[in-house]
Amino acid sequence: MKNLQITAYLASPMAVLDDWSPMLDGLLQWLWLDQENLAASSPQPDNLIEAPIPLRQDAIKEQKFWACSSPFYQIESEQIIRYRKRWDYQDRYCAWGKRKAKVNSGEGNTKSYDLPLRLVVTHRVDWFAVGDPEPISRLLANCTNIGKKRSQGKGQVSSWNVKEFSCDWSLYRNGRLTRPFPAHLMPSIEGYDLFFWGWKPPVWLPQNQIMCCMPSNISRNITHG
Amino acid sequence: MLSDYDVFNRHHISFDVVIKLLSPLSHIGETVGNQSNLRTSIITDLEGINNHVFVYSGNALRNGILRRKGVESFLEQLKISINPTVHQTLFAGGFIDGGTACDLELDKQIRQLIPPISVLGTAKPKGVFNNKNAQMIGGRMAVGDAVLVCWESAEYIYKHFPPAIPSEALLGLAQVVKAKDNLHDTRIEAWLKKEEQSPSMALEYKELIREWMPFLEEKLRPHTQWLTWNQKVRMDSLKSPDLQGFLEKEESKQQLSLFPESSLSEEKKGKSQKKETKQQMIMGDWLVQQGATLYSRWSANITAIEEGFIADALLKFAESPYLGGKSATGCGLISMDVYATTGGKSEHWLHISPSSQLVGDRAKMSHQRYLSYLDEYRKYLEELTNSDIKQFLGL
Repeated sequence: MKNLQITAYLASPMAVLDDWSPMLDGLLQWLWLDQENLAASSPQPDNLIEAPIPLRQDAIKEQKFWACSSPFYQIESEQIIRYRKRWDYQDRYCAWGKRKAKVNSGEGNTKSYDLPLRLVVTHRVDWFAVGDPEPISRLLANCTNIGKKRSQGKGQVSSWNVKEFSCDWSLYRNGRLTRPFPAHLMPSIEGYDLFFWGWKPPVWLPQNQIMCCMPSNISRNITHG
Repeated sequence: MLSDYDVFNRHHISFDVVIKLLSPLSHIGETVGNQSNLRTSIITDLEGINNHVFVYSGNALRNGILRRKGVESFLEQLKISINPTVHQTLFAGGFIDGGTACDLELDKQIRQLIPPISVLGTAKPKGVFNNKNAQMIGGRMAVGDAVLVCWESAEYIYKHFPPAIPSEALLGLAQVVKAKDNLHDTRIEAWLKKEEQSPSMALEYKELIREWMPFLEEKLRPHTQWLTWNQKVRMDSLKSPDLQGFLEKEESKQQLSLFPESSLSEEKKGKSQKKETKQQMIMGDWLVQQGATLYSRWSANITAIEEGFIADALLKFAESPYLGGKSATGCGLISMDVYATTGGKSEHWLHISPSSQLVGDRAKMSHQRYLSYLDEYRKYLEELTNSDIKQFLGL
């Protein structure tokens, strides 16, 4: 296992709602599951598969986690766009039977939507991790987009670069956290914001959410040091 | 083909899509009052400045062409019609109406029986596809925004598909982009290693910008020079001088008197002519000029049959190749060239224009495989009066 700097060069703005996403450990887990044809959109706790990803697994007080930082990136610009959906129900393929061909586009299941989406314009995103570069590169080669709304072309990745790095920044950099980490496992929480946060993948699973110390300014660090 | 179709036998494929506008294009992002603004995305230009550039959204390409046309063709060839909930699931991406399940067997079955959903994904509601739980079905394809080829987007397009750029601009672009990338990476690496950055790269980059920028700006044209303003006026036909003659006729008066809001009934109420204002509507819209080029990058991890579905959807779209709004007034007519890259090999996959379609060897083979799949599927549905598949589709 080596100290690594993993870089995604982006071709289009990335849709993210916070400064700590997307997490690379979650991304690698999903890529492994997809490669093994085991990926499911919303797995339940009882059928959750923990993918054996090529990152070092660390443990503090018996709490295991993957050695991988949050993303580091420079925000070059931000934009709010809107994405829309409308059901065009009046065609000959829809068999209405005795019902009148009419839907309420203002509410319920058939509601049309017009929703805002925050986009971050950035040239590259970096993560710092400890792992095996070759298998990581192979997994990442299958990842074409990162962030939200990937199907609509957001967060398009031009290329990935995995290279050795001189330091281990997977958890700390100059004594400051580089990823969300549970407050009760920290020696001191002074100087950190506390958020209730999913700190290991899958982050939306209630069991993985806990009060965490949050790293600050990592989305600017890459440029301002 | 239905029984031995392996939905996990996938391959990575990327499509470089070049769209030429044969008439002006309308694609509205935000509307403020009576002012409609074109959809834009922020792109960093060669000088490092963030600019808004017109894009035709990936969502519109994905759902307007691939989903709408692809599913339509799928149902047409199977000769079936479906109930409204299944229709919404196929055409509009469905909805989640309860706790979501994670049934990998159902996921596989949906991918085997409905390739359009396997490619584009959906939110399967409760009760649809003969299964009581709601479930998300992830798509296998990402469709990027189609970006206007102009000065501001030149770097992005050059890095992904240089043939979309006018050839005379390529030499200058290559030099400037290389110098910019070197400068950017050196700056970040210098910071990471806590080293001083040499000014020579910044100077080289500035020099190249100064040398090439006037030429590149002239050849590629800035975003705003690709736009045109279209203003329309619509008169109230009742007040039109050309139609006054028709209003004077007795029978017209009698007919119009049936409508209480008509001008004749207002006359009866004693309203003076002075109070009547000319009813006309003035509308203005920005359009992207005819002759402009758009570039979009699609990537997918799909089976051979699913690749055939993409070809089928595009060929269905080719029957009337209009994009965006105002197609009734002739806007949005396009031609499209699709180049596919898979396994390190690239080829001209498909060409669409209003008068002709050229299907490349690979696309022809995939399409033929998809048509055979549908043929077998249709025969199966016709032969069996009551089958699991019919129940699955809710027929």
